[in-house]
Amino acid sequence: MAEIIVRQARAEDAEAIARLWTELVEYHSALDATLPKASPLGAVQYARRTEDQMRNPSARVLVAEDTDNHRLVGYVMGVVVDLMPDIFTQEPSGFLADIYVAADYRQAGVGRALVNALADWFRERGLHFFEWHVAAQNQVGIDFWHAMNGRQVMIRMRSEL
Amino acid sequence: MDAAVGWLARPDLRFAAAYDADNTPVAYCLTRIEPTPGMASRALGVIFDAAADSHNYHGGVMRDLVADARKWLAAQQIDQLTALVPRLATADQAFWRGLGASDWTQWLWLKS
Repeated sequence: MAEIIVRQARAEDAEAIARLWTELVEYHSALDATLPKASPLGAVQYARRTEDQMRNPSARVLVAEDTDNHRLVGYVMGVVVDLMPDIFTQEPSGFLADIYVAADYRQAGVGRALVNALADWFRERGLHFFEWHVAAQNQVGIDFWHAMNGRQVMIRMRSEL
Repeated sequence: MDAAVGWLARPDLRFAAAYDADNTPVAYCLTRIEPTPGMASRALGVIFDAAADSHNYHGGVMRDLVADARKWLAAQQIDQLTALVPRLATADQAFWRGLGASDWTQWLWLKS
């Protein structure tokens, strides 16, 4: 049984993370054709943005690595945010921007390990809660988040113009 | 008040209000353009706050404000409109469904 470790991402991981992001976008597109598709240079831009976030003290990028073959099999990206600080007396919170686990490593606790590690980092920074979005058609994701005790607070509804 | 003045100056944000015959505001709608880096569509529109004065009812006023938001977004080549609606606000969700919207994403919360 492969051992999976969760660690902080390094600059040399950016391309592998961007490949996982591409899989994430394709996974979403297969579930719901209205979800955004990657642009031709999307993966390159995402790799660059990921490297920026690695240097950002208010962000955390974590990866799950298979120690047998050193393959990156999942990642999570989180940031500290203060939404609408000009009108709400809202405390800074965490925002989980992206998470993905490769298909052949699912149902093995990798996603849970990534979320728990990110939640630990948020907690260390004094944050009391974090938020994220899940696609309405992603029932597997919704079930995962309910199992993690996530509580739905808002719905984003969409229409064509 | 300061925040509202700031919104009026932002090119990525539309702050529209509706007034009655006495020039009293009866509803408002805040729409912003949200970039989607790395995606094929460069941005989408988000109505992130909207309210109507239920003590000064004017039928169709919110529909008109949404039409204004659509027009503003279309003028900037944005082809998708989204709206953030509280999970428990079923009347708000019904309003949006009546305009042809459907659930796109869920926004979840967890204590850390």
